[in-house]
This record gives sequence, structure tokens and C-alpha cells, in this order.
Amino acid sequence: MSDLFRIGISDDFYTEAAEPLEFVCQKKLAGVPGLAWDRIQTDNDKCAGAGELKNYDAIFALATKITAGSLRGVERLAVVARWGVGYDRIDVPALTEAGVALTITPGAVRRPVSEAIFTLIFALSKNLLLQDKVTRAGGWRGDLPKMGISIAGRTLGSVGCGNIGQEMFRVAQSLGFGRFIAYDPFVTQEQVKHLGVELVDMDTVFRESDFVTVNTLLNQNTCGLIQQRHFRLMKPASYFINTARGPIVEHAALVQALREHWIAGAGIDVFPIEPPPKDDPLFALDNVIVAPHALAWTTELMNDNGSEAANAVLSVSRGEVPNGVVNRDVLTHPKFLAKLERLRK
Amino acid sequence: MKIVAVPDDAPAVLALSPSFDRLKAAAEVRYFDTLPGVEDVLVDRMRDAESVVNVRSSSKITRAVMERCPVLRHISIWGTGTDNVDLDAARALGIRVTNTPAVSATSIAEHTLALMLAVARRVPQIDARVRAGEWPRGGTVQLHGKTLGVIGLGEIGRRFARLGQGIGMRVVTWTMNPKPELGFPHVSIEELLTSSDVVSLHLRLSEQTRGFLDASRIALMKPRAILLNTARGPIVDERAMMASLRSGQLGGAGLDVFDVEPLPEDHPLKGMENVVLSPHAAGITPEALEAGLSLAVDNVLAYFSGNVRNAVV
Repeated sequence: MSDLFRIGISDDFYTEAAEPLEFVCQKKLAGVPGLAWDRIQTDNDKCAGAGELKNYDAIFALATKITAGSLRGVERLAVVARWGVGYDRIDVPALTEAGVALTITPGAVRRPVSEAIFTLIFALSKNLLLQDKVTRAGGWRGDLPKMGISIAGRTLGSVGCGNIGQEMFRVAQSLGFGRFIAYDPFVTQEQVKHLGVELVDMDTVFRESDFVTVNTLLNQNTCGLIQQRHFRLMKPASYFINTARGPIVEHAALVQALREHWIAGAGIDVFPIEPPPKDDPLFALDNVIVAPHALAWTTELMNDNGSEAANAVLSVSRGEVPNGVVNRDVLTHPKFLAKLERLRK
Repeated sequence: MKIVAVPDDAPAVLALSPSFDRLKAAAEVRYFDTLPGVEDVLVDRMRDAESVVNVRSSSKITRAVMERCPVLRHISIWGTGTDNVDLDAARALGIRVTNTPAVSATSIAEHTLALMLAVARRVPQIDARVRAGEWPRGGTVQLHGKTLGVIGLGEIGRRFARLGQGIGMRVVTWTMNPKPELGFPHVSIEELLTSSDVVSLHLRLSEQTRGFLDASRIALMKPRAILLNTARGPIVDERAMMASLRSGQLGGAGLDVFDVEPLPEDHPLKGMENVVLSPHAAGITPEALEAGLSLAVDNVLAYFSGNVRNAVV
């Protein structure tokens, strides 16, 4: 029994992603000798406790929270494999200190998230929700309060130009945009030249874009990064799209910008608190499209996320270094190396 | 100086366009921002003009009108429809008629992409549910890697095909007269319908294309496929389409055009969950309007320079 490589599956999978979980267990885990997996309990905040984590070699994490306290006395755990790319609910330094690798699934998310961004950009530009509403209510095109606009020639901007930002610009190549601009202090002009992206400062992204998209991770530096003054810089006919993380944006400033028509509209898939309170002021506005942090959450995405996460776990089960490691410094940590050594035997 | 009349810019669009300045630089313009209403007023406004920019289709330029305007030699229609101008009379009287085709192609292709994405991700439905306090998961379709069947490869069809490729779809096409030089794989209509995850119609409505997508062809489509129509309603058998949407064989539809427009009261499409509807507005963007106005002015200037372009007559 103790020789089995044990995978703990965070309990939110069973309510939020039961089908893809089933798909991945059947497709990737079933039939692999020496593997066992079962459900772990988390608390009301989806926080995993040390009492649960200590029994496993690997954890599948969805919206799972892992703190320093979760890892107290946890010796066996070698990898936390998140389905997705955000890890704002996980204490990364604490994992490293405990000799636990954190892996994410950048390959699986970049295309579906890009597609979600363009879904919002095109729906906003064409005023599609209002068009659908007017048509169903018995009106016709003369009843539309405004026309849709054309995308051709317009400027697409991004705050952040990493995995998802670059993929968004890659997809945008043949959609007719006129100019690509991005702000990212961690990327060089050379790295994005082939995509036709000009790196500019953050104010320029807001001032000159027709569509400002957010493609950065959430951490201490990006929390509250986008504020009232940024919306003030935007063109009145421009749109704001956030499919990254809610807390990157000051929500009250976004609401004010939309309510007072500083900008033409917004597409919002992420909120400061999720699910958002029922009286979120965004819900009363007609120049916004809202979605439940799931616009990119297609069946294909979840299956791919799970397959990529399972590959990472399987690598570790063979004592190999997995792909997609976030805390690279763990790879030289004696505790982690000892775990891989043990698993190789 | 040449005289150009604009008898019917009401509500004003041409006067607000930068292309109006080009017209005024090239000719003396008799400009009116009200509708002429009756024939006598229309004739009065056009009487001494060699060329007329016809902005509104409510101005009926009949044989009688043409005969009462002896110096008239050119009518520049803003738009593609020509039914308000008596083309036979123009031909007989030696009056050239031009229009502004294809100026909406980009807007319509973009609108078709907007509908495809919105149907695949169920955007209006999900937006409504989130506003109602729900937090729905999953159940949406990814388009990357799927097959898009484009029926008709005119200006709009080929632009939409390129947009589909842009978001990572495999594109197959069928058109009445195959155009291999465009580089899109051409397949039989049966193969297109059985292999495509999304089918989009870009045919002109004619006696040949009326009812083109009938019940038997809809039945060939893949289970859960998405149908897009931004061309003309009667190209699809609307009843068969609705039956298929109800049974779930068709997964969804994005529709800008219908059998009867505006969509009649109590029309069953209005209550359907798996459709996204728009009021025949795909081609209406400020950019498309401006491109049309600019082309209407260009057509006047081309006529004056002796090289008539976009001629209908």
C-alpha cells in the first residue's frame, strides 16, 4: 500500500469539473501500475489541510487554496499540479520550502483564453447582446441605439505579453487589426517582434488602444494595477476586456468608467470575489458583457488542462522533473530531490 | 464647373462625411438635407445637374423624372439596391447608373465571426445567467481545431473564410463556380455539410438559391453543428432549421436574416435559447457607411474623368 503513488484530488473537481476529471482519470491514469487516486476534503474556503495533504505524493488543484499551514508536517508530497495557469491561491514560497513543485498548464489555456478574448471583442464591437435583445423584443435595426463598429484597422492593446498575451496577438494576425501594442516589463521587444507587437508603457496601452485586454497573472505587484486614472486615459469609443483575474482591476473604477461612459464598454469574465455578490453594480449596466470565469472553460480546455496536469504528475511518479514548474528553485531543493530519488526506485 | 445634385440627404449622412469635401472641390453641389417627397420637387432639385448622388431609396428616379432633367447623364446610387431607379429608362436615355457594391463585406464577415463565437460560447445566455446570480460552468464549444464550412465565396464568404482560418479553424468551401485560385479546399456540398462543425451561408438570393439549405440538407449536418446565416433568410428552410434546433440536432444558430423581416411577433426563434439573433444589421457600421459614401463620390469623380466605375447601366 505504501508503495503506491497516491494522487489527491481536490473536492471541487467533483462539483465543478466532474466530466473532465473522469476523462483524465480514464485516459491518463487508469492502467498505470502503482497509481492510486482519491478525493481530498477542503474547507469552506477550499483550503486543503495538512491532515489531508500528508497522505499524498501529488495533488490535483482546481481553485484549491494551499497555505503554509496546509504544509505543516507534510513530508511525502512532491507536486501540486494545478489545472490552469493562475496560482494566486497557492503559497508558492511555502511549497518551495517544503520541497514541493508547483506545476501549471500553460499549453492548454493559451488558445481557449485567446478565443474567449476575441469572443468578447467581437460581441462588444457589434453590440451583439443589445442586437439580440432588440430582435427578440420585436424591434428592428432602426431601434438600435448605436451601430456596431468594424474591427478592421483598429488597435489591440494588452497589459501583459507573456504566454496568453502572445498567443492572443498570434491569433489576431489575420483578423484585420491595424496595430498591436503591449506593456510588459518582463518581455523584450526582440521576443515579440515576430508578432508585430510594439512594446510601450502602460499609459500608452490605455491611451491608444481601441481594445485594452488584461493578460497578466495576479500577484502582489499586479493586484490593483489598473486604476481609475487608467480608465480616464482610454478613448471614449474603446473597450476594456478582462479574462485574467478580477483583483488586477479596481472594480469601483471600472464600474464608474462604464456608468459614466468614459469608455464604450467592457467584457468581464473575472471578478474581485467569485462568484460575485448578486448586487454587483456591473449587473445593472448594459454596456458590459459578464461571464462566470468560464468563458474559456470549454470541454476541450478542461480535458487539455487535465492531460497536461496528469503528465506532470506522471513524470514525478517516475522520479522525473515535470514540465510547467512555477517554482523553478525547488528543482535544486534537497527535499524535492530526495523525493524524486525515492520515486525512481 | 460641373453641377452635381444631392436631392435627398435626409437624415444627413453625406454632408457629415469627409468625402463630401472632395465632391465640393470637384463640382458645384446643389445640396438638400430634406426628402423631396413629390416628383416636382425632386425634378426641381436635379434639373440642372449632370450627375446626381442618390442617397435615399425613397427618391423614385422614374423615366418621367429623367425626361424632365435634360442635362442628367449620371446617377450615383449610395448602396447596392437599384430598384428606385428605372434602369431601362436610363439605358434608353443614355444615362449611366452606378452603385456601391461590397463596401459592407468586411463588416458582414466580422459580424458573422461575432455570431459564431457568441453562439459557441453561448454569450447572451451566460451573460443573462450571471446577471441573475448564477455561476454556470462549462458546456461551451471551442472553435480552434474545428471545421468551418463556408458556402459561397464572394467578397463576404472569402473574407469570413480567412477570419475562420485566423482563429484556427480548418476551412472547407463550396460554391457554385469553384475558384481554386483563392486557395480554399473545395468539396461537394454533401461533404461540406457532413464534415463541418460550423456551416456559414454567403450566397446571393436567387431562384437557384431559394430554399438551398432545405430539410434534407440540414439533416446531413453533424449533430450539434452551428448554422450561421448573414446572407438572406429564404436561402434556408426556416421551419426545418427551427425543428432541427428544437430537436438538438443543430446545436445552435447565429442569424442576421430571416424569412420575414422585421421578425414577426410571436416568431418561435425569439424564444429559443440556442440562437443569437441580430436585426439584419451585419453590414451597418460607421466604417461601411463611410466606405459607401466615399465610393458614391468616387463614382461621380470617375464619371467626370470619363472612366465610369461600378456601372449598373
